This record gives sequence, C-alpha cells and structure tokens, in this order.
Amino acid sequence: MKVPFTLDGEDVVLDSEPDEKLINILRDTGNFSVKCGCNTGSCGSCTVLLDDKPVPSCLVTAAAVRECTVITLSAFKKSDSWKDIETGFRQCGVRLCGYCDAGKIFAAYDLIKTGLRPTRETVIEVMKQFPCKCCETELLANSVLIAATSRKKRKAGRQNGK
Amino acid sequence: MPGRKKASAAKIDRFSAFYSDIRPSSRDADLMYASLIRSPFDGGVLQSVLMDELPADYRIITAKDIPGENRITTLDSSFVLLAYSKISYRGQPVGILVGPDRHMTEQLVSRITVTALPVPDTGKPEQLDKKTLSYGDFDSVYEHCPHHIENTYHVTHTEKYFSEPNGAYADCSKKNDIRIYTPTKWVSHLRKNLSQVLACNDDDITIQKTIFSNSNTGAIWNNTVLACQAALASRVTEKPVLLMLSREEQEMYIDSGDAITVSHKTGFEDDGEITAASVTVMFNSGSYAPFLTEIIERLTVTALGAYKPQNFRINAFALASNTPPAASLSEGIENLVCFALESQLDAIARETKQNPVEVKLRNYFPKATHPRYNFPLSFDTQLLLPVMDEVQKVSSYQRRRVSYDFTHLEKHTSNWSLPIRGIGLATGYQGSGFFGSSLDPLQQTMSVTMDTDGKVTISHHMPSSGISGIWKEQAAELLDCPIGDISIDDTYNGTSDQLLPDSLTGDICILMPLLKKCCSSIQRSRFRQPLPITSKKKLTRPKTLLWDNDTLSGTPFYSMAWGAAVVELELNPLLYSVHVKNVWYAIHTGKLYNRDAAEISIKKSTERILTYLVNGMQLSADNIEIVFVEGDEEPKEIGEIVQNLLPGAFAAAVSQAVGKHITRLPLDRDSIYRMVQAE
Repeated sequence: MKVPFTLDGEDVVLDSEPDEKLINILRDTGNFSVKCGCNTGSCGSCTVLLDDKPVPSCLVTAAAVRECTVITLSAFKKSDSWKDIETGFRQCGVRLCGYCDAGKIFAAYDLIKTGLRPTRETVIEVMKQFPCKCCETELLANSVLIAATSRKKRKAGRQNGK
Repeated sequence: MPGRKKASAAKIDRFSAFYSDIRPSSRDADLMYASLIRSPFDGGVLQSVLMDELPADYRIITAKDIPGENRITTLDSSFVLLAYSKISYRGQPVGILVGPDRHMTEQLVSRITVTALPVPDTGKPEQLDKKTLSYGDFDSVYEHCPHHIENTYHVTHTEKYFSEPNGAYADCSKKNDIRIYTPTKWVSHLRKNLSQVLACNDDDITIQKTIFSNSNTGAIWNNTVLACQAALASRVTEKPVLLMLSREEQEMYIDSGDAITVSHKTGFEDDGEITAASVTVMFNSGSYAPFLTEIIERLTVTALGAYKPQNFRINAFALASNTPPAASLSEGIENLVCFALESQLDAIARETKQNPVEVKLRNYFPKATHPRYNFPLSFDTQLLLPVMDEVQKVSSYQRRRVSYDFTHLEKHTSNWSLPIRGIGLATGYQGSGFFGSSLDPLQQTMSVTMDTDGKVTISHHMPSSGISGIWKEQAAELLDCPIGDISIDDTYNGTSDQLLPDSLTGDICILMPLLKKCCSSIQRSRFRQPLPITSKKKLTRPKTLLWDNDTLSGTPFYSMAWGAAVVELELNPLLYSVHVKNVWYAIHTGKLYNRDAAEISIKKSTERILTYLVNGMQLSADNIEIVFVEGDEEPKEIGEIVQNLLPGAFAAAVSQAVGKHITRLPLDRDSIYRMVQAE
C-alpha cells in the first residue's frame, strides 16, 4: 500500500506492507538514530515523535503513520528544543550510551514541551522506567529540570523580543 | 519492500558508530545479511543442513566452506566455529544463511532443516575440573560445634540489556584487505582467530572497534566468534556482510548469565565465631568455558571471602552440560559466591541472636586460638574496619535494625497490612589483578612520549571517557603541561595488539601507577636530554604479594578495595512488592582521583543491579549515599564492587522484613508471597 506521511519535515510516500513496523522502514531507509532494542516497546531505543508524541516505532505499523508527522532523533537534534535538553545534559554532565538516547531524549522533550516545569518526582518516575542504566537517573532528572528552565527562558526571551 | 530507497552510505566514525548502523561506503556494493542456523538438538551427530527451494541470491554456509581452521582458540582451549559433526548444545551454530534482505533471511532461517543422528545420553554430568582448598580439620571439629547451619544457595545472574545485540560488520570482498567493524574488547584474540579461520595474514586484517554498549563479560569472547562467522560469510559471498544476533539469541546465548550453586555447611560457637566451614561450589560451565580453570580457582579462593574460620574445606567443581557455553571471564565471577557467603553469616547471626556486624567482625578477626601463620589466604582485613564504621554511621544501621526487630515482634498483634521494613548489611571486596590468571595484567606495558613541541602521547588502549580524563589530568599535573597537550593513542597493528581484553587491564589500579612511572621518568630527564623522550614501563609484582597457584595460597589479588553496603527496604505484604528506600555504601578507595566520577559509577551500578534482584519488578532506590574512605595507597578499582555487596545486603534486608532466610536470587513475587504467608 502507498503510505503518505511527513518524515523529518519532508513529504514522503512509502510503498509498504500495511503491517510492517515503522522501525524497519526507518532503519532500512538509513535513519539509524532509530535503534532496535527490545522490540516490545519498553526500552525506548526506537522512539520517534509521531505527531509530536513520543512512541516506540517497534509497535507502530506503516498504516498507522498515514498522513502523520514523524520526527526521528537525528532531525530533532537540529531543533531549538534539542538545544534546551542539550543545555541540561551539558550542565549536569549527562552522557548517554548512544543506544537508548531516543527514548530518554524524547521523554525529556515530552516532559518540558508544555512550558511548565515538571516536578522532580515526575521526571524521576518517567526516567527510571528505562531499563538502560547508562546514566544515573538522578543526574538525568536534574538535567531535565535545567532543560525545562532553559526552555522557559528561551520562550520568554522570544516573547519579549516580539 | 518495493519502492524503498537503499540506505545511504554511512560514514564510519569509530567512537560514534554502532556496527549495526554501518553500510557499504559504495552504493554499488550490496550488503548481505547473515543469520545463524542453529541446532534444534541438545546433542547428536550432525547429518545435514538443508532447505528446499532456497531463493536465488541466498546461500547456506557450513563448516565445509571455511577456508582455514574450523575453531576458535582462547588461551589453551578451542571450540568449533560451526558444528560439523558433534552437536554440543541446543542452539549451537551449524551454518550461516546469507541473503540480500534482512527480514527474508530471518524468516528463511527458521525453515531450514537440520538433521542429526541421536547419541545415547549418559545422563551424568561430566566433571571438568575440581579445586580443593582446606585448612585445619573440618570433619572432626564440625561434629563438636554447638551450632550448625547448612544452606544451599542458588544464584543466577541474569541481567537484561536492551543495547545493541552482539555481532559484526565484515567486508572480506578483497582478499588482502579484510575489514571488521565490531564492538570487540579483545583485539588480539579477534585478530588471531580471524587469521586462523580465514587462513590469511594478521596484517591483512583491519579491526575497527565500534561502540561497546554491553557490560556483560560474556560479550567479550563471544564477539570474536560472531565476528569470525560474519567474516566467513563475507569471504564466501565476496560481499560485505552484517551479522547481528536477534534479541532472543542475545538473551539466550550471551546475556543468560552463569548458573552457580553454593552449599555452605557451617559449625559455630555461641558467639557466632565459625570454627568449621565447608563450602561446595558447583559451576555449570555449559558445553564450553574458555576460562574454566581460572574461574574454578577464583571461585575457590573467594568462596569464604576474607573470613578466617579456624577449620575449613572448599571444593569447587565445574560440570559440563549441553547448555550454551559459559559466558564469563574469570574476572568478577566472585559476585556469585558473595551473596551466599554474606547470607550464611546473616543466618549465623540470626541463629545465635547476635548482631550481624559483630558476627562478621568476629570472623574477620577470630580469637587467637589457632596459629594464624599457616592460614593459606592472606588479606589485609584491617582496611575493612573504617569502612564498617562509616557505613554504620551514615546509615544508622544499629538503630534501624533494632527498631525494625521490635516492629516485627509487635506485628502479629497490630495491623499486618502495613508495609514491613528490613535492613541488611553486607561486606566484601573487589579483587583486581588475579594472580592465578593466565591473562596477567602486570605483564602490560605503557609508553608515554613527549614530543619536541611539548605534546604528550600516551600509547595504550582507549579507556572510558571518565578514566581517560583522569589519565590526562594526572599526566598534565606530573609533566606540568596543559591538559590539551595530552592525547591517548590506541592505534594497533598486527604486532602491537593489546594482549588482554580491555576489561582486564586495571585502568585505575594498574595503569595509573604505570602512567605515573612513565611521566615521572620523562619529567626527570626532560631537562637533561633533548626531546622527544619516550618512557616505556612495566609493573613488577611487589615482593610482599606472594601467590602460589598450585596450593592456592598467599595474596590472590594485586589490588583489593574493601567495601560495605547497607540496604533499607519496605515490603508490601498485600502486593508482595519491594520498595528500596535507601542504599548506603562505604568503600575504601585508596587515593581517589575523581570523586564525582566514582560516585556516578557506583550509583549507576546500583541502579543496574537492583533491576535484576526481583524478577518482574524493576527496583530502584529512593536514595543512594556513598562514603569514600580514602587512604595513601595506590588507587583501587571499585567499578564492580557493588555486584559483590548489594545482593547480600538486599537479601539480608528482605530476610529481616519477612523473618525468612533467603537462599535464592533473584526473588520473584511468588517467592515473596510464600515467605510472607509462611511468616
């Protein structure tokens, strides 16, 4: 079947079986920031933003992305939102292993995107769900809180600029 | 999939690439995908590996296609790359299916028919190795002890990793230019085996290390097997080949962990002092274990930790079975016996109604009723005392333990549905540089060069980013130069490969002193002789550290870091769930170079280990607190000490909460239910 959708800001039409997993489609077309982890939707390595919501691409079929917007981590890293998260990571010395990055980064984005500062408990609760322990949860939580502040400042700066 | 564009050629950046993301640099080169064909039988004699109507472009590779030798050699032992006659275990690779489409290859491999002639099962596990260490007269003393406790502990170390499954990208399409991209931690082992399997020169092989994202030591030598299989497939098809294990294969053959059974038979006095101890360790080595002798020796010398019973006998056995090969290196294997030992001491404390700390100390420093000078194992247990003090102080261990004991006395008359609390303490050490190992870390050399422009190059394998930062800082300080002028060069060629796996090098306890020696030597001569100056150094074993591998006596480790952990937890008697409230550590570090990095490393290990202590529950600690007890000694390796401490402290805390002795890890909801019901 033909599946039209927007991938990393570009309109594409995919010729695919309807039940084919999105992760396979993305990796086969060279989107290697999407990693193959548990294949059950729990590890987060294959996370993408589907209409701005983080979803595990190993559980999403080709048919489900029809007319949707999909952002992979490599494209997300060109956005201002990534800069906020990167600020937090840099200030706290967070270094991810490279394999679980998509899950943790998109979870951080989901926590801060509303502009409200999440509570520390909420962030820890979200971050400790990831089975990959390449980074200490507390450190990761601190970095997300800094990212939230950075995002708030950036947004406020933009409004003041207007 | 029709209409899908081919993955673009990816650039290979050594430290930012996973091998599974690498694609041929030329768009014209077709990448082939390989899947392993595995034996569906536990044993037997292989007859055929066949498939009807194999699609064009797909090919089955068997042992007959190997141009060189069909074996992987590790130290003095070897094992077949692909089974060709005898099948040793269910799941043993008997062939490789290669094809241009990954999904198709994965589907086809399950349709291949493997036939084998059955061989009669003797039903008796074969004993491969045995070591015994004894002191005093266990048998006669044990009978006369006022108290006896016998327990058998089962430990399965099963850690779930969802990182990149093991495998390799191999390009052997050109005969004299073999390129392997794989997360190897043992370059010399890989190169040697590749040249053996492909019948080629060492110099023709270029090995590119990719990101290693699995801390399981089983991935170390298994990686060589997979890389050789990928290289074979590439050589036969003359195309680049990607071989990546499926998640199921990774869990079953690499992350499955080692199974070990420890039986303790202990006789002790009223005050908890052990007068007779017998420990029997059974190690399931699977169908093959390349480090078998070392594993058994190390289990033998660590089975009683640093406790000094007046009479003891330790027997360690390795049994062969038709299960996948044992994954471990000998390094760190003692974490499997530490839990059993600490739990046994805890049981003694409960039986004698003594304070667990006092019982431990009494057995670390027994009464002088026996001549000590013949005690076979020598450990400097004095260093443990400040560690014990600190961990009790920071955790208020004594106060909390007593108060929870009181709570438990009252719980039968009060509301039983309230969460019940427990606290447990465990002690132990991390030994680095085992003298019984044939991979002697003291044989390493390190060279440092100061060039004419003042730039300094450390020639050694690249350690983790944290350790390389410490090396650079230390070198900059000793040579009085900017840190930006220091670099680490780990370029290898066929003759200069590092002989040890990266994980055994002792980056802190062995290489730091080596680095200091090299830098001090340069600093002494740099104003007397012209640059460049190169200083190449090797460590020598200190005369005080004597070890006899035949009798297993002396000091077994080059460096030991002592530690103690306290775990406080809450057990919900309605949901049968565990909530870890606090974990406290005190660790003796010697000279500590980077407190933050050490703290993060301990916290990360804690989070990782907590995830597998209860099956089906992802535990995490609300609070982790660490006290480092520093000293003037050389720095210690502490990265793995948590594995030796945490399971024992956790089991002791659960034991206090439910009033039952824990003999099996990991726990699960059912076992917690049974303990609570029994209580």
